[in-house]
Amino acid sequence: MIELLGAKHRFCDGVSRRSFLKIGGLAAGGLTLPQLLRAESAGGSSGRHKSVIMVFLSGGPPHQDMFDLKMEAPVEIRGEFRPIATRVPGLEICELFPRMAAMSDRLAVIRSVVGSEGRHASFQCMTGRTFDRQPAGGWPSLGAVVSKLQGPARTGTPAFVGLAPKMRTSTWADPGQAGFVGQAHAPFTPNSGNADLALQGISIDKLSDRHGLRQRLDQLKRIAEVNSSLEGFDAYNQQAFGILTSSRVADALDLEQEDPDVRDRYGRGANVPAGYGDAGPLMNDYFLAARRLIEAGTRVVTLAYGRWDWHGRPHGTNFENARDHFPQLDQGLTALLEDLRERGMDQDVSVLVWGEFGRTPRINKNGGRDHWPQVACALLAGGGIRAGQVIGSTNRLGEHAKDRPVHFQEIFATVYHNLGIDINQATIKDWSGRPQYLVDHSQYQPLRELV
Amino acid sequence: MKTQPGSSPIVLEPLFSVAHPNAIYGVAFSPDGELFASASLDNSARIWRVSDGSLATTLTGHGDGVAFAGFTADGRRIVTASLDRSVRIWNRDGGLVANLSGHQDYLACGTVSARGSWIASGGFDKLVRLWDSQSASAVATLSGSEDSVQCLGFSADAQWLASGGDDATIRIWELETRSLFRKLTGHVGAVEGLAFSPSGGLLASAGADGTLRLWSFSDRESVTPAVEAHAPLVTLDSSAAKLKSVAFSPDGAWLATGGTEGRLEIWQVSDRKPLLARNVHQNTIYAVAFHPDGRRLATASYDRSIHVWNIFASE
Repeated sequence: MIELLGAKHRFCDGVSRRSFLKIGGLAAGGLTLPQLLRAESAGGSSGRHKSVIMVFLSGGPPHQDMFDLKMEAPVEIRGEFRPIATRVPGLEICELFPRMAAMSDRLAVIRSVVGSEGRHASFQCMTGRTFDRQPAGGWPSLGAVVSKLQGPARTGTPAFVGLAPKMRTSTWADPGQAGFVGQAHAPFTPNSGNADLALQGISIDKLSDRHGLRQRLDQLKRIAEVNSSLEGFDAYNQQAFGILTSSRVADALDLEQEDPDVRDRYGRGANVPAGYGDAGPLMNDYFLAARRLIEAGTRVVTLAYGRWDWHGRPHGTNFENARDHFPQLDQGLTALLEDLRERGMDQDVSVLVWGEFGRTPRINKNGGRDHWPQVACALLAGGGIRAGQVIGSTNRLGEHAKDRPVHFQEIFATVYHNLGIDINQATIKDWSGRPQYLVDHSQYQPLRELV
Repeated sequence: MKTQPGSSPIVLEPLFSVAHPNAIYGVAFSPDGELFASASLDNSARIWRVSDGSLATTLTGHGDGVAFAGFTADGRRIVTASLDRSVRIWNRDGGLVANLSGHQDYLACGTVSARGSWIASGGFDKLVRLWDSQSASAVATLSGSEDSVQCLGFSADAQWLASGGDDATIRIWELETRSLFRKLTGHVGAVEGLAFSPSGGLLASAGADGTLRLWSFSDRESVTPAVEAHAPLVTLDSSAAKLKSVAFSPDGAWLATGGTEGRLEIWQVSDRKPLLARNVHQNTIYAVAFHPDGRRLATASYDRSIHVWNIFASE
């Protein structure tokens, strides 16, 4: 990481401080500055590019309380919420999602996500893959793959940004790793607080002195070489120049520049760990920051939202936590979708909302629901999908997929399709030199109902 | 949220609200009525001024959520009980006086006697522990609960301690002998809140079964000193699906209950009638507390807020 002090900004957590750019394993690996400029030129300057916002509901959201209510189930399974009708005939969702219900024609609800490995981590949601038996270098996350294959949409903007803050549960804070595509494609993580190296004293105001910056970067490079702590430093170097000489990222993250009414519409949120204090905040500003980053040229933004691991008392029952989280998700997500539509971005930006697994049908003695990898739910919107439908179903008790089981990789295939990436063709070599497809395309294809 | 005259025998006027960044599990007024304490899942307790709701002190140091915060009888100290298994005693300025350990699982509840220097704590280890706030020392461990202890309450004369929890049973403990005096059964589900009336004649219990039960408890001579089941005087069905908290007004005339979906109810004790029922929070009300003057009420909720209300009978 490189941290550079900049002009005073107020960032999306609302804390006024010296602004900084933390440039960690930036995304345009191997590209020269002229290439970056060409990339921008090729991408046009309108900001129109295919992109993804992934909302990771850290901890495993309760599928049966959100989008698949089981009113016919016995009381120990049914839960406390009632379903409400939506704009999609036959689709009912939780009463705490009235805004989603009102724009359900823009959503695709997947009720039958299967294939979870049951790991309490973002890994599978970020990569589509299971943690075990990874190829050399490790599976890359969606953002890293897109960074590798498509590069930045605009000069000075990283292709991949992870907004997750530092958390006590680090596996939830993981915004998606670079894996075998290389650290040059790791996410830019402005909220992680993980600056490993710092170029203290260099301000954005002084960046006109590129010679001086070069000297500092060379110095840093020597340190890095000694420590073997940075790979792909040339790419890193180039990205540092690209981002430092652009204010786009800082501007995108500076929500003080946004209309306060727009921030209010998103719900703002609180920049403190939700739930047990070890997970992501209910930070609705992140939804807005994601939209601004996409506008600035980022292709993939991931964010961790809230704490959904609701085992029950003494940390609140599943339903108390749902009453806390659901309305805020409802507000933030629908504000994002509405905003994307108003700005003409909804056909380009895919929004994916999910967690690592579902939760037990039976409510435990502490009013909680425990881990249930057998089935989960996901929400897709935008990106040109045929929205306004529900895919798959579960059995009467919400225990398993009854029809149309949808694997994590099918959702990844759909998102890659939305990005214009052909999963049947695109490969990236792992560290052993073996070409790896982005998904197991012999088994999994984009969801035919949506594309 | 003001109740219109004529629509309810009770007027409830919002005075102010305070917030934590996470769910709030406890609220209690100081004996002099100048301060109130809040306990939160954000690992802190906070001390607020009743006059204007301003923050006086934040008590930090617990390693997990704080389930209870209350003032000692002399008002000089604050007691907290935490999910981190510890009970802590603090000065009013926030200085830590003592850290009491012994519980082996999450603490879910605590209470402080209005007379003397008793502290009681209970939790998921199924134990009730008694502590002395003056000496900051352990006094006794009361075992017998068959499941997690969720609520506690001292009688006004500090002769009795009631505990309740997930075994759906209320246990009355005699403090002098530190022994179980009686078991009260009848709730169908966890007992979530307990409060003795100021005069000592009644014990109120709030249950996850959505009932408020009043138990006769006048004095030792009036009851059989045996461990036995006992029917309540009355069982009242709350309009909340589940109740979580209960408190008597200082004059004993009213009972306040807090429940799921932010449901607050005020009951007239004399005729067991509900005077007011309203959703005043966005989430479960974990604690209710009357100000010593009886004209103000605080409600603390999982929605991260405490509302302080003026409360009085309408004309």
